[in-house]
Amino acid sequence: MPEILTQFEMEKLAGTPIFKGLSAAELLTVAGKVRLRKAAADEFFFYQGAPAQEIFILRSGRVKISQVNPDGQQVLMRIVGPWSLFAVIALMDAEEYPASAQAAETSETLVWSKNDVLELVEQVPHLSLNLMQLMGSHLKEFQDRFRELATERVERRLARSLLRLASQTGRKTAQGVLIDFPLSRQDLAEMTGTTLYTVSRILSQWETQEIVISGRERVVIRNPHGLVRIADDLP
Amino acid sequence: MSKTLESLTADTSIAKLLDKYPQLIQVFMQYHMSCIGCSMAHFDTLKEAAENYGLPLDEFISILERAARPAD
Repeated sequence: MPEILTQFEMEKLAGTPIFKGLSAAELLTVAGKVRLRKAAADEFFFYQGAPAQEIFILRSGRVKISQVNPDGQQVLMRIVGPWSLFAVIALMDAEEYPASAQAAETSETLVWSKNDVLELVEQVPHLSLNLMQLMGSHLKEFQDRFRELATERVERRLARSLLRLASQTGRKTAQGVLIDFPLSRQDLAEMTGTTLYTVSRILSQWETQEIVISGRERVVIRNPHGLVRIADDLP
Repeated sequence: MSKTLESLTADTSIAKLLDKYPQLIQVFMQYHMSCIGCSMAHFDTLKEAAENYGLPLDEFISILERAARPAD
């Protein structure tokens, strides 16, 4: 028996990039194949190298997608917020997950098996167009990051990473835009390809300039415009 | 026929404003403001934008209101 999604979940699902534009009947077919899975903070949904058999939509919580290089150094690739898709690579030829997915806080996911999704694509051709667009936008994000790593000063890279995180998971508070996610300086160093020491130095400098407030695992952008100016090299 | 214009305040969100009145993009461009397409426009208000660019808030709001008003 498929687990039944609530009306709220169905509406959210209809708004996700992968399932947008599907008819109510098609969405019901999609919902009929779903399973739910939870993870407590720090638990893994899957490990790098495990057989890539499922795709996930985060229902609540936050998930960190990270990769370990052959030297054992971990790199945080992406942070997934609610109603975003992850592990879409399972639909490609990939036999194994190229990265691990770890819950940063208690997280609930909607899970579909690779085979079910591939069957759905045959029934609902519009799904493949959505998937192409979704992969295109991931590709663009990684191309941008690659260009930043290859060409930009670390200040700009850090500014861009914070802005990207703020637009994906930010929340406006009295102090400024809070990146609503436990974010360590080590995470930021991994995302921007630099050292913990450099991240700390830049954040302290920005703190003095009243651009950010950075506590332990917490960053508030006090002056978003100031950060945009650094990221985009505006006058 | 004149459509009633929603009154703009210091707390009006830039992204919502530009979404509703795309004709205001011109005004932002005229003042060389980089709010258009900015990922932070979603969080920033008219007050913050005016402060960032050193524009008097009241004046900025009345310029925007004039530009947003549909021609009678």
